Amino acid sequence: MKIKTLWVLVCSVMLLACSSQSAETELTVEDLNVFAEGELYEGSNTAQCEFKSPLEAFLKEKGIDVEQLESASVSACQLSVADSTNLNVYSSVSVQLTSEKEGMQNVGIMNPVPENVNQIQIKTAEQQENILELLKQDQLFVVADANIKQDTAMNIELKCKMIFKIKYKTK
Amino acid sequence: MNKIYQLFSIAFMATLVFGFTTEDNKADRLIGVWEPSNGKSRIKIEKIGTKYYGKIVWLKEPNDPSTKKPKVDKNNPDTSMRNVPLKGYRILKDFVYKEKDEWSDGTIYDPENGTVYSCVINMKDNNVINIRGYIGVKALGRTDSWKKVTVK
Repeated sequence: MKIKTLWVLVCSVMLLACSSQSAETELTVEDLNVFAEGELYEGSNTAQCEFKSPLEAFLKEKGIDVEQLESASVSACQLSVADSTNLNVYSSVSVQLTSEKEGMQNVGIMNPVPENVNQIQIKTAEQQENILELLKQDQLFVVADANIKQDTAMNIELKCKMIFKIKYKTK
Repeated sequence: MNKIYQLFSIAFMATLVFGFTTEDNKADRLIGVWEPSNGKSRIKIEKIGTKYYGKIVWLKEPNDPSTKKPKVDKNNPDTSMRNVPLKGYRILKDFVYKEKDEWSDGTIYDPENGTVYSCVINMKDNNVINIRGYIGVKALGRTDSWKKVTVK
């Protein structure tokens, strides 16, 4: 009986040792210039920024293979204005990610935009399905749908920072 | 002989350039503001990269009668996104122009029930598009005709 128990214990330890475990890391993308040319009208206006996916360089730096990747999500998204102006012209802003081959994914929303601030943290979406597949593409688009309170001659010029939480299997 | 070669090259380049332009122009006819048959909203279709997306830009009843505040996406299955204003909501996503006046591979979101359907768009003429939302196969779906709105 004791030998049997010992065998079960040994096998369990070996199984645990052999099975790969998951780990998490963060990938930060900064200084994305989300832009729409004015003049802009009251209501929803689309601003966008095309950028090269940083995933390949990030994985190389971290020594992680693509095959190890399990999932990815946007854990934080920040929008700010570059100059001394504030975000008072916006009533709400929603952010999406898309690419040529993968479908558009909601990243989050800020509704309403607080008064007299020049930086906002978007409330990220709970359901993010294809962020990893999006990151695997060469080029990505950040799309910001900004509801504007009144007609304006200005451009939409926002700086976007995103933090991706990446889950992967350890070797 | 050189002149003939030059002429041939110019003709060839022109065919390439104008050929592609024509395809782009055909696809871009979808861009604009469209009104569904119920007249309750207007949808602006725009191009991001090479795909087409549409968002609500006008609502006949912009405010929720119960809250008196602008309508939000209260039926979204993702509870974290129920605060997104319907005005500006992107209900058409990821349409690709195929051929024969058809845009496919996209989805349409119905804010009335919070459901995403597969969708195909066919252009009847320059002012009318047929939008067919379906689940699984096209036969199991519903078509609505949208008219183009002339923006003054």
